[in-house]
Amino acid sequence: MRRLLAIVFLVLLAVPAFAVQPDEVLDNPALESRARALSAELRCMVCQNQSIDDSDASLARDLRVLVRERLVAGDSDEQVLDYLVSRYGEFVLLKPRLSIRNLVLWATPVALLILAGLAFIAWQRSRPANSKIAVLSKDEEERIAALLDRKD
Amino acid sequence: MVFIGGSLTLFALRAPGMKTGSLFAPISREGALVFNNLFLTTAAATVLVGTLWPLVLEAFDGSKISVGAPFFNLTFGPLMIPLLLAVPLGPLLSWKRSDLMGVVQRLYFVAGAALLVGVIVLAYNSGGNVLAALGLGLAAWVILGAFAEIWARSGLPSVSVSVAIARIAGMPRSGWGTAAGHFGLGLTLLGIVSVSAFQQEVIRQVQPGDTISIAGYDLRFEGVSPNKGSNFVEDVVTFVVTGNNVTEHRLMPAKRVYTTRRMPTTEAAIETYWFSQLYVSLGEVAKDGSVTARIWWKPFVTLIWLGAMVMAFGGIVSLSDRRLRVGAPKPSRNKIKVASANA
Repeated sequence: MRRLLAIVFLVLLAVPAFAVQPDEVLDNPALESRARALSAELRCMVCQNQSIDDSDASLARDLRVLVRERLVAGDSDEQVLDYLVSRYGEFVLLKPRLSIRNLVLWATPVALLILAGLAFIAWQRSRPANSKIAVLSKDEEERIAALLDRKD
Repeated sequence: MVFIGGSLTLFALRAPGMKTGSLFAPISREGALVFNNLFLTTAAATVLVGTLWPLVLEAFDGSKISVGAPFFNLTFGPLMIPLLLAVPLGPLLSWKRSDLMGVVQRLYFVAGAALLVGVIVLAYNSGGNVLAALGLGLAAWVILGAFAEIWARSGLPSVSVSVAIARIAGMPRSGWGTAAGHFGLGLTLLGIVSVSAFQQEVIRQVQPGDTISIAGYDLRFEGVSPNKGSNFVEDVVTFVVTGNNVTEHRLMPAKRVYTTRRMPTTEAAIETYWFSQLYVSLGEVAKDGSVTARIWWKPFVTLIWLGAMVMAFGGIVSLSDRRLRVGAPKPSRNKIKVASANA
């Protein structure tokens, strides 16, 4: 579990190389923060699974500038993503879209959790001894109560 | 093949001998362990599928997709939340059969404190991300909850302090291991939430004499000075940090070129203040002496690693428990007979 966590933390927190340059930054802070959020979801096509926000490759820079141009032109986040997907294919998205092809990818966590949970419940039920754990009779309950009272 | 096949064969041979003798109710320590394994296994499977699915898809129809950090944040993260919520409950549950309400009642104080943390963060960070308040509340829940078992065992406040100390001292080491493990998990969580919610970043081109302010620190850019190492030359950039009780601390990142291999590298400067870090990286160093600097303030970032160390320490303490030191119990003769009969 620790190793798993460690790997995930590394993925989450890998400190990027020097990426976004000051001259790329937009004056409008709201647009800029949208641009940063979008950049983190877009893959730098020539890098090893780096987002364009993290990469210092020149292609990543071109894409960052492109994303900002689209935002300034008034595109919504979804339109910017559509624009990039139409040119570079779905490969550019670090978070694949939910589609029939990617169903296995997205459904695995949910399906596994539900199936394993159901399997556990079924397994619990299937053991007859479990369903008839002896309940104390009224007589026994009274005797216990009497014993507890005496101790206090 | 030999190892995997061999171990599977061994498992197949011995499996009939592994009669599950114990019965337990869903709400019990065993039930909590099942819950734990259920979520951790699903999380592991998510990572596995996320890693392999692009390869599978490419093999089938040649289409390429990417699965990156945003996907795992969206799938792995939510899987961890129920698990983290359940962490403080686990050690308080009794074996075989337990009473959930009784356990929850023992955690009223912890739950109250965690809620308070969440509300305070929400109040101070109004307009900010609500997830920050939820995350820090969750971290407080896990951190304080780690000590709930020790507190419960001590019997405080209904017994005298000396009795409580004697009881705590007599606790089995596995109990201490559990507390340390869960505490470490809480620390790591605190680090992750703090960095993701309150990290600050400044990217700027600065001239000598300029000052960059970040998280209450002022970094004054002094200038660039050339330096020569044994196999490299570098431009050392000096920032002087003041503010937040720091007096004139120097941070010196550098642009380095290893001369024989013509390889340029950037040497970042990192300074740790308590559990937080100031991190300075460099872009271009221009001819006119100006520098493009990227500065991060990463609050509580070291807790991520410190938490992992505390977790490892908890594991060691737990392993040193007397009950585990005596060695694995011998398999009963019955089981061996069953296995060989089946073979």
